[in-house]
Amino acid sequence: MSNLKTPDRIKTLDDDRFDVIVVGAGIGGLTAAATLAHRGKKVLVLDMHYEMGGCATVFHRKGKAYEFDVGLHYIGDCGPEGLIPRILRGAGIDYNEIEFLEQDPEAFDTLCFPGYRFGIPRGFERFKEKLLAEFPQERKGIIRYFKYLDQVWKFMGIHSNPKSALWILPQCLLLARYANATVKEFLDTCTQDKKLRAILTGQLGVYHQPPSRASMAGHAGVTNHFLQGSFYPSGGGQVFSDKLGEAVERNGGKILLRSKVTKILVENGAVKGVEFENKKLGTKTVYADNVIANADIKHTLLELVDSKWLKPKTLKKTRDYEMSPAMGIVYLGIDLDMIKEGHKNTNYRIYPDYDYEIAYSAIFKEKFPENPHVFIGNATLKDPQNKNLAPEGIYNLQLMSVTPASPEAWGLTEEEVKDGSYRKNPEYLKKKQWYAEQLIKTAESVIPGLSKHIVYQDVSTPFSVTRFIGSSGGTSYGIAFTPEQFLHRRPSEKTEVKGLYLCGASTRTGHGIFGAMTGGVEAAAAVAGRNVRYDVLDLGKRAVASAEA
Amino acid sequence: MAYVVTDNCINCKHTECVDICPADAFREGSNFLVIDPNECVDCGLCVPECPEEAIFAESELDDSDIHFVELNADLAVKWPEILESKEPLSDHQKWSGQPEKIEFLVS
Repeated sequence: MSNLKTPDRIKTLDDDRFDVIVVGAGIGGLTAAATLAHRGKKVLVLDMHYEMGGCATVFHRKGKAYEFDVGLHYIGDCGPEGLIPRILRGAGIDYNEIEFLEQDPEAFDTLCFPGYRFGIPRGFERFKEKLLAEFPQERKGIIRYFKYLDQVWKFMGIHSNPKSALWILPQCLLLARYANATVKEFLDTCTQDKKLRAILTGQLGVYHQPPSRASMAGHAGVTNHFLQGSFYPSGGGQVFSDKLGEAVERNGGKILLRSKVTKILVENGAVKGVEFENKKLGTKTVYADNVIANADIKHTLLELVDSKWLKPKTLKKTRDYEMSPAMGIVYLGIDLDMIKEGHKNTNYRIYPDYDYEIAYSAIFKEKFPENPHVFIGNATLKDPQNKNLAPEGIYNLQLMSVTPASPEAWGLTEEEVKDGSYRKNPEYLKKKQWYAEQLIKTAESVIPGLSKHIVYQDVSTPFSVTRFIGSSGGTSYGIAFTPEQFLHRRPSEKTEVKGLYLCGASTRTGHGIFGAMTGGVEAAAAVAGRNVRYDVLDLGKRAVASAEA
Repeated sequence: MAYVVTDNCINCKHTECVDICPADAFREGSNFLVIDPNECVDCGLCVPECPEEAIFAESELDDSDIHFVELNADLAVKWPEILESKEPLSDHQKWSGQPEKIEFLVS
């Protein structure tokens, strides 16, 4: 496989007829494409970016001296029988093709509060044990919380093994009672301890809603996912996406990048194909009876599809979706020996105090929080053999936080964002620098000396995200993670247009690498039959990770 | 940061690199192209496009051509954007592969 030349992915297209066309080479689209190609379908994947993977891509700086992850920071459930390897196998990718490197199993996420830290360990039982030891007086509430988590885990198994509903549903009464609760509402029935609540919700950056608004069932799903162990693919996020793309190609599929889809063609209520623009090929039309749209949900349903094919109710619902908040990321190269300084392979989540509502209130008012929550991802500690990350002796870090998404908050106008001139606006550049300094100052509480060791710095904003992957409001998380927009209240993989399917962060399986990948499988199953879902996902057999290796 | 156009481009100026650039980073002179380091996104797609192999990552340059980094940055400020490829210069075949063309650079 390694001595085959990489096929051109920018300017050649030999066919114009396919079984399936996938609009958008995000992780969801790539998973759908690879799963279908593995089953013999002729697949074309189109994306406007120059890399495939959507949010799960990297970019380079200083030639190829630095390689920064845009969106894949850590994934859960990558053990041999885990969800991620199952989905990869369903796409024809063997377990040994991607090496999953595990982060510190005793503390893969380290929550940092003033004067107090708590490391979240791998293992449902280990995490529960740690909390019971730390908060013995909250024993009842902790057990109740973990009961809910356990019921969500069981419930999720029904989807790929429907018969199991018979014995699982009766075990899920707590979940049933609080299925539509917010995290706050459910936690109110468990504990009033501020510190304990802060720990239980301390990973909220993976969905960016405060406890008063986040879906409790969704929160439980995400928490369970990471409790299976936190992993990073050796070679980084791009390798992960590229493997999926290669799986499409070796099964006869085609990936075409730098190709922006401008229309999804529908005739008599059925999909006919798509029109796209490519600088070398010009405007082209390609045909298929099945189109899977992995692009932004609003762009797909309100702009790519002619509105006469969608019900007014659908159009209104789509227009009204609240998007998740967006992020600003500070990319750093630092010449500080972090291993010598005692840092482990953990993600730091820094909070100014135990109340997470304050920062999000500011965000919802389109203001920068005074005291931001900061996530620190360390690519070098996660993938120490990877020489592409940074020059020798330099550590590759990302500092992430949630930011307002409106142009005004960043000193810009809507027009400047649309025509790309925003990149040179001095107010915007000043704001990016201010933002970087704010996050670096916060990060210094956990990495002393950080600011004196910066040899490289770059900042991305919500507008950077829209520029490369076209998401509404520059978000990476699709529509907001609230009970009102959870599960069946999100767009399904099927649409009212025959042959048009959806996958990606805004669909039912949700966002994040595992949400998008699962959604890709769902879209593939919608095209090729439900057996795809049962074969790939049968979660009834999955092992639950323990604290031992 | 960025990729850099070096000596081999002079008097050939094929412009095939321009079509593939996702960041519209190329700037045009009469017999040379440069890359605006503020716009370049370091994707590297232009490198295999150049028939004269004139494009390199900044980190790959050595003492003999490191001066092209500053040259690209300086000329990028003066020269206009080029967004579409065009015909190479008429006597590019004569100049192809000639070493040390920099004295012929029209800035």
